[in-house]
Amino acid sequence: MKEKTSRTVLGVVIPVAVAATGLVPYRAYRSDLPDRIASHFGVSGRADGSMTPEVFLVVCGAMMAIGLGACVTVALARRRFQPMVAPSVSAVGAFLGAVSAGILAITVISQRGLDRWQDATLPPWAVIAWIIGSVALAGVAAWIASSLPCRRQAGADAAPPAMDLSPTERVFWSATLSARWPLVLGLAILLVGLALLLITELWIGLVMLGISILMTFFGRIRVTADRSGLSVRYGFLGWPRRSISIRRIAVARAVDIRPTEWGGWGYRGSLAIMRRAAVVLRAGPGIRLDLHDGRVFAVTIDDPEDPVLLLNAEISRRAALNPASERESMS
Amino acid sequence: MLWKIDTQSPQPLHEQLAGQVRRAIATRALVEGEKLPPAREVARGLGVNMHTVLRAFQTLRDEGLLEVRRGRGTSVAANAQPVTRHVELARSLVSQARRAGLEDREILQLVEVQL
Repeated sequence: MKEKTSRTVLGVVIPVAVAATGLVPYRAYRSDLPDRIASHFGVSGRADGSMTPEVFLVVCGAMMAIGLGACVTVALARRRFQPMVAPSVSAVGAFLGAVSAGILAITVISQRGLDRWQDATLPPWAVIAWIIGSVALAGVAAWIASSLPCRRQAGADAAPPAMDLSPTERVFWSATLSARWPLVLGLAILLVGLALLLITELWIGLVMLGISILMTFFGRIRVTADRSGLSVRYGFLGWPRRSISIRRIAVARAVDIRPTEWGGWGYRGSLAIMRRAAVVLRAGPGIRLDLHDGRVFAVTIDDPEDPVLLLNAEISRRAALNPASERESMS
Repeated sequence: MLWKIDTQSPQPLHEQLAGQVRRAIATRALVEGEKLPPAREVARGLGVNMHTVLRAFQTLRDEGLLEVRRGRGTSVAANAQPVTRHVELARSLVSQARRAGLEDREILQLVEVQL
């Protein structure tokens, strides 16, 4: 997609389409709504709060404006943001906009023709569809925003050093990195989840339990590099695992990873959607991989010089052995 | 830690691997208590048989440099760093004695006399 098209889709097409999804049903069914409409629902799906349709429109409209405004700002901004900023802001903005538009549309459509707001129910299929749709739209917005030009990161131009390897030599590198914050945070979430389990519904507690288990994946990572590429194994079981094949890697570099430049801590971004992803356990040294297709992957690890030398050596060894396949993967 | 082998070297692969771990412990590239990657992964990464790696680990365990615990993986033994020196001394004693024409039995006797 050309830059101008990307900016138009992100700054005009998506905002207009999302706003229309919320505002058109409101305009169409405004006269069929009761004096007050249900605006809040309990976990069981029964209405437990109400507003006049006008106030509801203002609340949803304001959230829509903030979310879609973020997309418009990213699309129209002349300045170049740090790499992960535009996709993240666009994703959150598109999600907020779409969720608010969906709330407005579903509320208006499901409550038209009612006499009392207390009779309103929230159709679960519509809620699920609207959340899935909003997440999908957030993904699309992030993907589009990731193609916009961004600020170059320091150290990205340095010449890649490589290890001297004779044809009969084989190398393997492995290191682990631990962090305490995911475990502390995970434990805190677990405790809150257990407390919630006692006072509210079971599923909220289970969701919190799931999140705290996910957090432990970032308590320890093990990174390996060899002739097949780079792998990151998460958590104490070494599962799940993320591998990047040597065929995809154009160059490896040892870099200083600043969490603010990579979107924060944890697994940031997405190779598929945002064209960038980083596993960040702390600020400091790490490996940066530039892939042939322009995507970028980074992972924090101590002493990244050896794996970088290794990967660059294996890349050139592969290229020397098999120049045809290299050209193929470049295209 | 970086593992490097040369498939054309006259030194057997398991000895190359054991030597690298010893060097890493001696230079503190591997610290006491640190876990080694599973033998299966090292083998796959280097394209060698897993038993070659396990053999290296076993030698190092017998030398008191590694602790191999079932289900918990292999890690560097508690006082491995000072021990590496003695392991190196013993290895050079054996190789020099053999070069001088001593039988293994005679080398053992040599050490026993000193105990």
